[in-house]
Amino acid sequence: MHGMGVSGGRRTQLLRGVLDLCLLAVMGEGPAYGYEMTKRLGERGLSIVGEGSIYPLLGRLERDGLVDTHRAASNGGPPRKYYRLSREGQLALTSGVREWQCTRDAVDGVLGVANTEVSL
Amino acid sequence: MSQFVDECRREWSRLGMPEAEANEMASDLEADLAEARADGVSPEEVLGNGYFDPKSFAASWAMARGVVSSTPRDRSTIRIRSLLLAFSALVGAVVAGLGLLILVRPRFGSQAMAVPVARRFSRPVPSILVNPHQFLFAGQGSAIDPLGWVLLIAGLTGLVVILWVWRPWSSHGGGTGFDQNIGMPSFL
Repeated sequence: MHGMGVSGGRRTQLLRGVLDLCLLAVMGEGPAYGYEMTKRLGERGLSIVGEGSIYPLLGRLERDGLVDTHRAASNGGPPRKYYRLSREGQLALTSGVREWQCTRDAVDGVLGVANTEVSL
Repeated sequence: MSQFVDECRREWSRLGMPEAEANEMASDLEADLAEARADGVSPEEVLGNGYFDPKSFAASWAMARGVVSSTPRDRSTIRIRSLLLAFSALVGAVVAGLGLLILVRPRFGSQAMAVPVARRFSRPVPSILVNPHQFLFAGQGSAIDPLGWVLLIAGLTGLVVILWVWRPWSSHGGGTGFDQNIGMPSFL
């Protein structure tokens, strides 16, 4: 139980650091509204069940000028707020991906050689 | 309108959010939840932990968008802390001043004070700075001098502690339920 709790907490911490990049990345595929982005994340295996919500994060990205927004009709539904990458957002995504790759490689260098077998 | 969205609306209204912004956010949220429901997706999968705490979710979203700077509870906490710090600083200053007054009291009555008082107009620097021993130790042996020192040191220590507390607190804005280091709502 304890191990599961620690593991869940770590996942949340890891997500906190990269979820904004993930949102920018899925927005890079084309403008999307809130739920559509959740679906795109899910299709790539990134579920946020039991974690936080993307809405406050979208608000911050908008406030920071990393995304542009416009309202448009969705498929047969009511008008929705669509988010798309701004130029600043594209730059942030580029530098963020580079940072992530460096960090991931460094962590892999350490954890990749760790002995993960538990002797009984 | 779903109960969740309704509770969010109430929280936004309580926070003083502009009606147009609140309408837009509620409409988007309602549409997203309806589409998720049609897809067989639960609200928890869309809203995460925020689904179980609509007030925090609504406040975090509003603050992240910059529509409200902080919740009324945050503002109230900041006001109370500021008043407490100001009052503590005042008490510290009064205590230190009282201690200083006890230590320099011979200036107002003893013969030893005649010289510095007579030169006060010809010397731009206060005499207490030039000859502090004449002021601070003129009454050596008095029974209440230790009290003066205690008050002075306690008051000055208190002021330093208040400054120590105030600086990091004021630079962090007192906390808003938003994780500034990683830019994510703290409830994530």
